[in-house]
Amino acid sequence: MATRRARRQCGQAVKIVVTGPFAAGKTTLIRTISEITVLSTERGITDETRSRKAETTVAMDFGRITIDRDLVLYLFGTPGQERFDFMWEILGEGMLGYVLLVDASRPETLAEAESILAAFRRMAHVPFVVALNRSGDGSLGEQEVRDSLGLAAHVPVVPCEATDKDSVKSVLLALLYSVLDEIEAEAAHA
Amino acid sequence: MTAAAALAAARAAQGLGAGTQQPGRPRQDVVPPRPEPFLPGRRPEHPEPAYAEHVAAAPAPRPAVPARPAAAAPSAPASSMAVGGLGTSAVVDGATARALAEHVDADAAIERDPHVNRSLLLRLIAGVRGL
Repeated sequence: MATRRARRQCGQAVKIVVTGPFAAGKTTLIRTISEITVLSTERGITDETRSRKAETTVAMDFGRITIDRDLVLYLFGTPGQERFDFMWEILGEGMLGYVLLVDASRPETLAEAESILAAFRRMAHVPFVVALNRSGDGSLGEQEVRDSLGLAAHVPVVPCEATDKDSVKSVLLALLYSVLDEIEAEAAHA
Repeated sequence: MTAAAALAAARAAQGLGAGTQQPGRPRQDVVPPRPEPFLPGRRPEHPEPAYAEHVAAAPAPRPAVPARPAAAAPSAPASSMAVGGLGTSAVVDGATARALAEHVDADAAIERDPHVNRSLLLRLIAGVRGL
C-alpha cells in the first residue's frame, strides 16, 4: 500500500528499451540523453570479441529523463551478446516501445540485428524504430536495412549518431510518434 | 445365549445363514451389479488437420530409436520439447509441442500499457523536444 502511494506521488513512469547487436552503441546512446549518470553493468570481455572493445554490458543500462513533475521516461539498454538474452524479456516488461540500434559501419551485424528483432517481435507487440548509428561514415543504407530486416513501410529507420544529443532525440521522437500513430489508429478503428 | 448362538439366530432371520436358503426364494446377490466399463471418448490432443499437415510435411519417417538424451534438446527445432524424467528424457516434436509453444508465446507477449493514452504521448513528445 505504501509503495502504491509512493508511486502515485511520484507520478507516471514510461519505459523505452534500446536493443541491438554487440557494440552497436546502445550504452553510448543512453549516456548521451540521460539526465542521470547511467547505471551500467559493464564487465571486461574475455572472449574473441575483446578486439572490438574492452567492456560490454552484461545485464542492463539504465538512464532517466524527467519530462515534467509527474512524468518520467526510463531508458533501458539490453546486453548485446545473445548469451545474455534472458535479460531481454525482463527489461522489456511494460515497455512503451523499443529502439533497435544497428551500427551502419558494420554490415556484418545485420544478421544479428535480424535475430534480435525476431525475438523482440515474438516477445512484444509494441511499436519500434530502427536507428542507424554511425550512418555518416556507414556503408549501410536505409533501404538495405529495410530489405534485410523485412521492415514494413510504416516502421521508421532513423540515421543517428549515438554521441550526439539532438540525433538521439530524433530517434526517441520517431518512436514516440510511432506509438502516437498506433494509438490514433486504434482510436479511429474503435 | 452365547454370542455364536445370537449370530446364528440373526443370520437365520435374514436368510443368510449357511444352508439356510429357502427353496422358493432366489438367493440375494450382495454384490451390486457391475456397470459397464467406462471408457472416455477419444479426444485428440491436437486438431486432426494440423496433425495431418505435420505428418505430410515430415520429410521421412523417423527411425525407431530409443529416447534421445535431453542434452540434444538445444539443437532440436523450435517445435520440439524435452520430456521425461531422469534416464527417460526424449525430444519429441509434434503438433502438441508446437501448440504449447504457440500458447506460451501468445500469453507471454508484452502489450502496450493501456494507461498510455494520446495526452500522455503528447506530453512525452513535448518533453523530449524540449531537452
